[in-house]
Amino acid sequence: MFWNSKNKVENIFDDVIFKPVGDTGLFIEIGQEITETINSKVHAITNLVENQNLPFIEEIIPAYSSLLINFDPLKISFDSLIQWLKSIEIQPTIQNKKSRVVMIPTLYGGEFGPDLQSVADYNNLTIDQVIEFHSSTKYLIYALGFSPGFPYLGGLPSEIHCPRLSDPRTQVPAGSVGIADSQTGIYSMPTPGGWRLIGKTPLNLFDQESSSPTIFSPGDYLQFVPLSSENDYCEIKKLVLSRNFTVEVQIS
Amino acid sequence: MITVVTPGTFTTIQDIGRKGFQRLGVPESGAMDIFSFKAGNLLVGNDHNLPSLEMTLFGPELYFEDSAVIAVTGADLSPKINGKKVKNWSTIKINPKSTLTFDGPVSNGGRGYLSINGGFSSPNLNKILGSFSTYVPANFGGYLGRPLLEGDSFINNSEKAFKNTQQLKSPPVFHDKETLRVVLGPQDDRFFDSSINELLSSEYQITPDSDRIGCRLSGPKLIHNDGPDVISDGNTFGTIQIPGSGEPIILLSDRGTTGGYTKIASVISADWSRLAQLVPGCTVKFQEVSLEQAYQFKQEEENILNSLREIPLNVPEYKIDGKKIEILSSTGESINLEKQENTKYILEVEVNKVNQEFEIEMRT
Repeated sequence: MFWNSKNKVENIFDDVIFKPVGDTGLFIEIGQEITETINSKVHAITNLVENQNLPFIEEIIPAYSSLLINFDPLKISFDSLIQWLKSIEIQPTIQNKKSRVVMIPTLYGGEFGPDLQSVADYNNLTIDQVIEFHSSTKYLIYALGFSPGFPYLGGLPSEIHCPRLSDPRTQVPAGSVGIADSQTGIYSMPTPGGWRLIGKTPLNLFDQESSSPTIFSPGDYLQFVPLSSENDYCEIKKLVLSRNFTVEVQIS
Repeated sequence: MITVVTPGTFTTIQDIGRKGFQRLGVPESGAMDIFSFKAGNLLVGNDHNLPSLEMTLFGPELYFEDSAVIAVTGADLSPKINGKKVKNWSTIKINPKSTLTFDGPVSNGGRGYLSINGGFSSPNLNKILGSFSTYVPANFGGYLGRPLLEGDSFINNSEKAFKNTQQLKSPPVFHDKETLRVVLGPQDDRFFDSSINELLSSEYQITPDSDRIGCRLSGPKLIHNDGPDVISDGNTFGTIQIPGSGEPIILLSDRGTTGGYTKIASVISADWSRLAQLVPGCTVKFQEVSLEQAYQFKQEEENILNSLREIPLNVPEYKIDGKKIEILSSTGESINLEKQENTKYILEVEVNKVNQEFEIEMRT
């Protein structure tokens, strides 16, 4: 995507906008829309910069259509950092990066997804149709945020869009799968929230004791796999709690 | 052993924050006033990032079973040892069976830092994702993921022979009317010019719902030219975001990693200390500066910390045949010898009161 026909490198930074955020931040705007093309460029730049292990870069925060680089102003200036980035040689492997699809076992409905019926009613569908639409899509993880490990997902089928609850819950249990307008996501920690809850995964989305605390990264894809019974949910939960569950990841 | 007799208003373990995990949605956290935090550690001879206590308005009462080397920095919360007032911004040696108390804030600023030689330590202290900082909203890090409670305790690692007492020459002064310097953007183009002028000329008041997530201001409302929302993007300490209400919120240590409100400007890092010390009732004005000025102010702040890093105890002393010699370069590669006639010498190096001897031969 960043190579022209003569296989000559087009600089990945050619048509992006650089802006300062105070004296410690470099805001790189790729576009002003939420699209997979723009977001994949965000992750390509993030990976590119991360792989350099530059000592003056403290943090990279990829978002939907931009990324923020926090740097140490005692070590480098805004202008020099931009020059540095533009001088990075881009290896061809970056464009061949395979995508990971992380499979999320989910029990839909009942006490695990108390708003499933209301999402079905709102869209004139049966519960089974909502589950079918929700679990047959691969969702791109645009970014992680809101709370540690919470995935911002794109691509929810329009057939099951549904507005937020008018009265948000004061506590949503971790693992709850929700829908809010055109978005779907998974609560990674118990927090207040107004998304309509349609199911729950037994997986632990954020393990602070681990040095890789999340099961997916921005730029990965995620797919929900319906569980057939509460028994299946409990079996997986047991394995998760004893740290014996291996999350299924498909490479495509 | 150090025992928490009373915990104070809101006392947490902090360090410079959780680095490198914001891309996974994990907030940075860490000391609000990083300058005061680092200065405290340096005053007690630590690396600048050892876990210390962040105290808010009213500090704890602590009982020290053994002697200790401590420093209190940041806002003056009126520290006393065994009822006797002690100095802020200085190395303090305290005797066994002493009690440290705080009478409360005597002037401006709301956050004090207590550092101890060797750092605060306890089996209940959790290092999560590379940091000891307490992130209370998710109950992890620090002392069992929460503010201190009565009866908590720490291990005292203070060196008994610690000698190098220091004091910060001109410590920062916090005011009830502060002017914070800002760099505009990244979304200043989403405001009418009149609102940018308003931001840079008005006085804003800190409201009581401010916390470690954000400093909320009330004052003239700033008007967006195209609505208050942007596609969510990364947040930084000191970023001034303007939600639909038009009143600024300045993001602080426990801020979310991304946010969807327009960001009109950011407070420069040299002023983060004074930003962190604002308490409800204070007022603040904003002044625009260039990036070049901001870098210069940051370097000036760093120079103050560096003055505490020049610890004489760590400078090696070289002697040749018992005679003290002068080291000309900091790497110790060239040494000055005066009228030595033979070619073999005993080189004696003393570092931190430990002697080592080497036999060396000089060739010309």
